[in-house]
Amino acid sequence: MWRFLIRRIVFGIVVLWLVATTVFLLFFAGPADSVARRLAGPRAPIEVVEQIKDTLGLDRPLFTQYVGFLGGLLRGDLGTSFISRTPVSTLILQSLPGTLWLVFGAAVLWMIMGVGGGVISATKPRSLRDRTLTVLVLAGISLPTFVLGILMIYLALSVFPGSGLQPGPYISPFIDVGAFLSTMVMPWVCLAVVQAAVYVRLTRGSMLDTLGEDFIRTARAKGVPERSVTYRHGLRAALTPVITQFGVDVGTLLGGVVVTESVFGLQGIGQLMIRSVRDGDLPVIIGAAILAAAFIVIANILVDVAYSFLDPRVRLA
Amino acid sequence: MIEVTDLSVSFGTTPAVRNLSFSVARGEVLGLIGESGSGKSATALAVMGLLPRTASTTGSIRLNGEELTTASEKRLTTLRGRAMAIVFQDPLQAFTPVHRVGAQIAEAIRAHQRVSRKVAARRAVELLDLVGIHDPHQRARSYPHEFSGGMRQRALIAMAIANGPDLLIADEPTTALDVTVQAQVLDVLTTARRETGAALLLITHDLSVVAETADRVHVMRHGLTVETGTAEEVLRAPREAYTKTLIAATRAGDRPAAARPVRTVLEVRDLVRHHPGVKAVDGVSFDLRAGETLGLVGESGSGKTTLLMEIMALARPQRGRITVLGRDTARLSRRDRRRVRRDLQIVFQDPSASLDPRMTVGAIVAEPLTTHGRSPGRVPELLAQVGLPVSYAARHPVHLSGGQRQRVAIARAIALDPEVLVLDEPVSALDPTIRAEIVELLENLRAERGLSYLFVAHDLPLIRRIADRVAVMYRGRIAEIGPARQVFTTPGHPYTRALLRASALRDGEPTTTTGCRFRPRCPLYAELPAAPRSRCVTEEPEISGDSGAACHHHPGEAP
Repeated sequence: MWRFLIRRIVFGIVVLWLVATTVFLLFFAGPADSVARRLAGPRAPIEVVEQIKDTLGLDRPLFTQYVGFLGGLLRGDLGTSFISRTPVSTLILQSLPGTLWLVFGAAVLWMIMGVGGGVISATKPRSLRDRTLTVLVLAGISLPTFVLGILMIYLALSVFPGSGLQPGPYISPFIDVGAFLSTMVMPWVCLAVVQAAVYVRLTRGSMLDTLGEDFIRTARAKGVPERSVTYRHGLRAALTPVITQFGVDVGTLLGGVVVTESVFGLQGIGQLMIRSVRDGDLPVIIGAAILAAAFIVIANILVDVAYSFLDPRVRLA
Repeated sequence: MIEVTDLSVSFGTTPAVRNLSFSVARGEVLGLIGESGSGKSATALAVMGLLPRTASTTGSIRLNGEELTTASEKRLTTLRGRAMAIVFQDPLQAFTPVHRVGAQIAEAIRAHQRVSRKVAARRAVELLDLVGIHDPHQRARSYPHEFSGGMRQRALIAMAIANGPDLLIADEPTTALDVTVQAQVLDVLTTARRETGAALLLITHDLSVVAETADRVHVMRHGLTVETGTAEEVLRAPREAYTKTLIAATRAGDRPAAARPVRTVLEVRDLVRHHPGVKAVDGVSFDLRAGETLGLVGESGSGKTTLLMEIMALARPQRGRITVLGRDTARLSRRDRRRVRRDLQIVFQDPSASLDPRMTVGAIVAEPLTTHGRSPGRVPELLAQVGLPVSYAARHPVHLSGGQRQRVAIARAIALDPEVLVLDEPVSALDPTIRAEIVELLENLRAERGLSYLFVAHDLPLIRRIADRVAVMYRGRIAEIGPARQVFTTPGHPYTRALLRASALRDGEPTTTTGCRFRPRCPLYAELPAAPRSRCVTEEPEISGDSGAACHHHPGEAP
């Protein structure tokens, strides 16, 4: 177990290093002038280009720049934004809570809806409720997030203004719980609906496979009530692929929930990324990319560990 | 106790059981015999009320006078596991993989008895002990995959008898097991029946199982009753032709001794293959000569499959030497390896897994030919040789029966005119009559083509019938090797004797690190005086020459 963890962590660090190196080469390889020009944009005046060249030290040999870049990363120094002149790490720390709350809140919702729906579907396949769920799932998967989001905003502001729900930037629950909830509920539901649809399908499929296994018959044969057969034997054994998907999804989403954040103006990592790409704010783009990669790497390690708890046949070695 | 009258079960329009009537009294054992598809298992599921929703049932099933066919699901749930219990066929799949074995047995107890978790857990340990699981305390905390097949089957029996059922159904309880384990499991079933006083419905296709255990016998075919009577009557003097065929397919005599073979086609010397923690193959030597069949027997886990895979790998072994047709596999060039592969082919146990379901039969048989740059024009001829209609070339494996699939696998294996065929349990997944046909086909092919067979099987009567020589494997080594007649009539190793008598040996014994690895299970060792015993503890017995037993104390060896 510990050996496995250490190996996976080392492996994860290697992945992050590769991501960082790729990003670095992508932006910084080439003659200093053309790199600076690329960063500044085609219409920037020559003074700006020169200034960028100076601040980033683009005249230095590539390897020196690379060492400086990696050293910065290790110290948590991701550089300074071209646009706002604030350290990138500060920008990320400001945007991160919104995304974290959004993803974890939505994750709870979509797991309840998705796994619950999947179990309901799988225990009575081809029944009316299974068919109804299937249609809803199809609708959920097909519905673009921004359409659902805009629809929700319209309903909240124009049809049910009394609900108190409104779009807006993230507010910490430690400052104002009411405001926190009124801004977060809609993004949670919006993100969860789309995700839940996928999880209903996944759980249904996995459950149907499991419920066809011999051990389900054994459980029934020993007189275990159907409820326990479904949950203790069926769902418990069917959960592994669902958890895998869950880990990967959470990891990916933490790197930035671009559409949902933008629709509701949540000011999370996704929006930070969009803005920096639009403005060509290179240090921020690099920081956000490495952060996203880190989340995915961490999520994968956690999934592997969870696996060994869920399925005793999996040995971490 | 249980009374079945006029039971018919059908799946859609396909009838599975037709007008079946039987009864089993308290303490009695009824053997329900038939091949797969005869409706035996559907009968068992019907009694338990576990048939899938798509099945429809008519007739009557009464347990202690209570009608089960019309009983509510709720009532059935209370009866299942308490009044009637079942031991399923495939112990690999019968336990939920994510829960501990002890917990699953305790769950069965708590489903019917108002006892605390602690009491149920303790009772589970007692039950595991009752069915002969070594170190039951520790084992109750194991997961199903950590059990061997025999142990899982025992644990299933423990679970079935947990609530002292009136009726115990055993559906092919020994089919998936090795001979020694089979006998042990039957012993456990008998014990379990004695302990609970239950009526036992024993469902099997294996007549030897019935012969030993059943009071009465009921032979089924295609859902119909063929013959019924006491076990004695039916097995001694069967009235119906079908019963006679079944019996003939099970019994088999000695194989006539083959002409003296000369050339060695496969030579294995001191082969070692250790996986981390497991000495799968631990110093094995034998020869396979041109035109002969060498039978390789042993329990699961004895290293048979690893040995075959080492041979098929055609690579440098961890230790030791493998010589195929005079070529050392450690020194083969890529081109030579290809050539040797042509002459060394394999047939696997499960043809449904070893044939690509997306390819047609024709394409499957043609593949080795085209791979080795030959014309696929021989496919019809090959199909004819294995007794398949040429028109089958266009079919896919799913549309074939198990026996036909195995014929395809054989056609593929002989497509390149190999000299040596490795057969890994080629008939154990098949029904007895089909099994006899495939064995006959293999025998004919060997005679016609002068093939050499390395034949792995756990079916001893089969090995006795077809093998010229036999090697018995135990824990990664050969315990005994010699001419089939000699090994079967005058076995030198106590393990071989146990195998042949299929007498009870305990499961899950500790492994030894020095001396004779069979010692913990050896009946001979248990009776030896201290002085000759010490040799078993300190010295690993070896076989010298190509016939003998790895035992310090067998009659051929100096005391």
